[in-house]
Amino acid sequence: MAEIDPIIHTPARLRVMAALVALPPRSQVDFRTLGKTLELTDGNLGSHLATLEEAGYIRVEKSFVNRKPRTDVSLTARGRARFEEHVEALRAICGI
Amino acid sequence: MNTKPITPAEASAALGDVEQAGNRMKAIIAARSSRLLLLWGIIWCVGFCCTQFRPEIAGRTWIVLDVIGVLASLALGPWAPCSAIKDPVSRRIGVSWLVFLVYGIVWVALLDPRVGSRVLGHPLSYGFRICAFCVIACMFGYTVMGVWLRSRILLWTGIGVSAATVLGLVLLPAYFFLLLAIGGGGALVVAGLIMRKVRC
Repeated sequence: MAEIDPIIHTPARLRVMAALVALPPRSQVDFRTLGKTLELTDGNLGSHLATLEEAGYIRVEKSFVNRKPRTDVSLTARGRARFEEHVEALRAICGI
Repeated sequence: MNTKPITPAEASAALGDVEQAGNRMKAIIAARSSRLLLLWGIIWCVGFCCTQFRPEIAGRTWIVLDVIGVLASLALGPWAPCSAIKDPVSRRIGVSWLVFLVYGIVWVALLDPRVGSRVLGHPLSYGFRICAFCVIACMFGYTVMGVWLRSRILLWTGIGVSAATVLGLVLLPAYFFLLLAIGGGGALVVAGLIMRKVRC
């Protein structure tokens, strides 16, 4: 039976994971765009991303584009699987 | 860690958040393509208005507009390095559009009888032009398949046979069909044998 993942269940982290799952496979999204899309401050988003990265659910890559620093975030296969299991558990609670 | 059981109301709210966040991200993905539609919409409006009202300068105007459109598309499209979302599909779509652009120029050159007269000094026969067009149209398929399947063999077969067809038409018109038989057919056979061997 699917289980609730306590790392994902925090509202902000749940939204981050949901946004990343909506991307095409093997895609990356810019840190700023992700924050703007989810209406999260840089500090708030950064701390949640660190937790998700530590759990192996996401990958964070830093690079330079046109001499400007850029941070890209992508979902790992483990993260996608855990998120799908988490959503399944939520649906089971709702009786869907 | 939260060990308190989740109520159906909380679970339902969480599922609502999941849907909303997913929809927002999908809207961002769609917005990337909207810039290109706006750009090309304006280019078409300007270009066709010019063709309608000032046909004498339409040719040059379209060349300028297309160059602007291609450069702006490279900078604004989802395949641009500064794009908010990087995904392998966008890059392949971008490369496929570039391939289409190059092939489109070749097709127009082949189908327009005036081009042969200007480049070679004599018009190319209808049969030659249509035959070359058909071969190059097929090779466009091979080239795009090479891009999407990441197959160098398909990619270079498409590009190589297309280039050989154009060169054969221009430089060796007397042996054009023999060139297609040996160069075109032979290239496909060799590519097929290589792919059979490496299984790619």
